[in-house]
Amino acid sequence: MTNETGQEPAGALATPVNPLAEATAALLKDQFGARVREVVEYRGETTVRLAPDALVEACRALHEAPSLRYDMLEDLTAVDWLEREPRYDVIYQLLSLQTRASVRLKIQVGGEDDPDPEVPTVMDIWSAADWFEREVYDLFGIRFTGREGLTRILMPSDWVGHPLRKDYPISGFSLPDPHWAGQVPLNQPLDPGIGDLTSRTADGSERPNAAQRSEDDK
Amino acid sequence: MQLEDSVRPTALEVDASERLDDRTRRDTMTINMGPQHPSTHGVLRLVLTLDGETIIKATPDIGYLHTGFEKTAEVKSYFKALVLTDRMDYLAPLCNNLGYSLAVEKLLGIDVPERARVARVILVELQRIASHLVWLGSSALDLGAQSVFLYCFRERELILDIFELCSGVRMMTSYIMPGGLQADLPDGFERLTREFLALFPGRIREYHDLLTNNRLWIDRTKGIAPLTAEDAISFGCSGPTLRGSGVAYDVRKAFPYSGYEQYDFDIPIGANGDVYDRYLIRMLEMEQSLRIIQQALDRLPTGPWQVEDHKIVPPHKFEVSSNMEALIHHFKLYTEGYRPPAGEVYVRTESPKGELGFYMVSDGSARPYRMRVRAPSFANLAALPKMIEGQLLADVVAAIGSIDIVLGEVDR
Repeated sequence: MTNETGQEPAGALATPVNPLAEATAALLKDQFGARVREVVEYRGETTVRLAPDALVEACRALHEAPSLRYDMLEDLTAVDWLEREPRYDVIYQLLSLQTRASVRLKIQVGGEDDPDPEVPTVMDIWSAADWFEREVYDLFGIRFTGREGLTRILMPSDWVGHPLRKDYPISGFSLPDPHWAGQVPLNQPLDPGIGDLTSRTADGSERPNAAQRSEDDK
Repeated sequence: MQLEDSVRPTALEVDASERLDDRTRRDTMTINMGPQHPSTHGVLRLVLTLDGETIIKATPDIGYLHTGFEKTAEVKSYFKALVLTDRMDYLAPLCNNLGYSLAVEKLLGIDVPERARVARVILVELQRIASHLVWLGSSALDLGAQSVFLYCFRERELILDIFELCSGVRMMTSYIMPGGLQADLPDGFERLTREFLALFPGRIREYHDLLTNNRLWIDRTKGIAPLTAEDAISFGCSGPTLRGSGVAYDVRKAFPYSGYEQYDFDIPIGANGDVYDRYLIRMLEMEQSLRIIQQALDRLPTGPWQVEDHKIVPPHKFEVSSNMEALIHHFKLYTEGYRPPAGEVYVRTESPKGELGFYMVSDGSARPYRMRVRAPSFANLAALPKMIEGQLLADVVAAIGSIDIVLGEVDR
């Protein structure tokens, strides 16, 4: 990794070139002062980094600002910077359908002493946040608070770990053999669908295979 | 008598009033639709709570096709991660290629030659028609119109022939790549495309004849699964699903890329946000795509179809065997790849399904630090419960068909 922050070196509070992005940055700086940590301009895109506690207020302000009206949450995702403190970027890509203004909000959360960070939800501002937040929770393990139904969405509900974290190996963790039963916690009954194919029973002991069983039955 | 006693039906002793009550009680039932269901277009599972035939609650369950493309891309070079994008929206691989290529080019800070830009527009518009044809055929098939399906696949085959001519592959072409195209447009491309342009308007009229004024089709689609503009925006819907609700947002117009601002075309929008409007929009979009292709073909220049920088695109094969530098470039590109400067970009394109966004983060190494795909089908599908709650069970099939999901893209 050549650059820890993933940013091109930029002035702490650069001035955006796009007038709408400039207005957005000005509005946020005006309302949140020092809680706007950084405004980065890169390849014509504006990223505003906020203090985590300013996120929901800022989203609401941008959603309701009469001249901007960011009415669409285009994307919500995260990036794991494993060795950095704080560890995760959570990214909100906002778009205004009326003015065609576009801005990226970013907060930084998590770290060594906060392995499963919490971020307040923006679901009551944009319904789209529901599934996006579930996806980020599923793949990064970032919890969104103040909402219901934060469950896994892409991975199976009994999956262990969060695959898009950088310390999750690309090949997955080595699983007990047979691997298709590996994700079932030992204290839970096995899925009946797995049935006779597995050699491991729910209590973790070896199950006699089918040939042996028919031998016993005789 | 003893026998009589033993055969006396004991069921009669059960409280008869309760049984009767059971039958007349307004009860809800929870059923699974999918993941193995022909009308869910792949492996979508819907958990439906029904009151009779009316849907009280619908919960989509996705992830059956989760392949971990975003994770896989992190260990591929930029050059090699391209092939992953083909397999997301597998009905429109070239549109995914384009979104990815534009994002990588933006990270690199390069621009492609005019011939590549125009050729890309022709190809993705052909792809849009091909994708809409699969949608039209399969969603009509879901509602029982079998012949439309056969007609649509007949015409789609003509488009796939053009792609095969260009790239050697019908579907997973990877033909659009960062830096231009994999190869120059072949001889015969223009002829085949012009033949298609001449043929297809008549075929669109055939589809209209089959469906647009068909009483059965209108009954099954008009007023079904409506979505208001506010809801569509709030759910982040895009593409025909958003435009069907009357919101005029098309990335090609709002944030033009690849020279779309130079073409003359219209954006059809609906008024009622129902299945029929979404149907008509895609039908009209195919006509607009034809207009774009016509204009692009007329202005298609000759010249280079790739950037000159052989750190980004592979050198010509004949050079590799005769030129030392070309050999080094060839070797370096295929083993190590190129290193865009550290930074992040979000590039949006209009795929047949809606706004396809690529959020790419580079840490200055030869591999994408993060490749996030904002799949249009994902956001559109999230709005499905809003459309079908309160509707009838039979209309779920129409609703799913109308938002045109591809599970490969939803689950990635």
